[in-house]
Amino acid sequence: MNWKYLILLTVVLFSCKKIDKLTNFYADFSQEITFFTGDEPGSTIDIWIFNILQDKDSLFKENHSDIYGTNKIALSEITLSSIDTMDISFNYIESVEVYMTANEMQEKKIAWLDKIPEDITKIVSLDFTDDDLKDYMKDKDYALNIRLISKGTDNIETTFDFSYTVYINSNFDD
Amino acid sequence: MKLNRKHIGLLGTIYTLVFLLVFSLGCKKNSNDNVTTFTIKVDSINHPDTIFFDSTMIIQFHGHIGPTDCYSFYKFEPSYVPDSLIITVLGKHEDKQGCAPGNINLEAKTLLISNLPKGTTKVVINQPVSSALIDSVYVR
Repeated sequence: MNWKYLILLTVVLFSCKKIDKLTNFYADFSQEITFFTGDEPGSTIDIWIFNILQDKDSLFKENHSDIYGTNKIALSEITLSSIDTMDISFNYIESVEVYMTANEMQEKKIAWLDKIPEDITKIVSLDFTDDDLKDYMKDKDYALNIRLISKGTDNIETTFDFSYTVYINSNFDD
Repeated sequence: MKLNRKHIGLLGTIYTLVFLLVFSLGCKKNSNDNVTTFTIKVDSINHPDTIFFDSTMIIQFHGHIGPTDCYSFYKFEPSYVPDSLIITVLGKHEDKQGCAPGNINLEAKTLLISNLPKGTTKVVINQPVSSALIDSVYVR
């Protein structure tokens, strides 16, 4: 066996891993939302989140990258966490859909859960799309719309934390 | 294989059936064809004058949607540009027989807005014809 080739191959493989670590990163976002659940089962609770990536440039700079040189941005996790001091849990929600919007782009359904399991109390993980979201997130005005279908019969105030993590596959910033 | 009159007749019937099927599918009426959307005239909105940064702004809308139960609320279309939150409230009308008369209203339909920046944000409600309804909220 030619050891020179083996060493060269090992160096190349490790370099690829190193470059991969430098050009791929995760970014976490979260937003606390307080609202009244409403007492009409079947009604929609319509929540919009604006101004999400105001420090977009610094996020990418910290990761030696640039949003315009990004290959792909995709969701890797999306959750709702009950942070009520009262033990309200998620009994008032029938289903959840999350949409992403941006200027001159059609709204895109990015996450959902058709039925919140009865035994869930504190954290709900949503199903989500694997689609590339970079065209939306490049837009300075991109926004999220959370649509909850209520099944609550008591109008109570509640708070949850909406969190999501995106995986960013990027090129080196020059 | 030689085609006789019986085969030709059978083929003709099959072609006719396929043609009719394609034709009927092509002409199938889209169930959305009878639905039109429109901007609802908002009479007033309720919301707090001041909210804390990172809290959710709750806006309730009042206004008349239409004179029969074929009219209903469709959706909110909010957008944010620096210092202004611009909201269009859309209704829909289904063009069908037997619409029961009755005043259909927004009945304090609620929209929740999160993550407004600190300072004053103008709240602009688009109206169908007249000038927009304008209000503001202070985020501290």
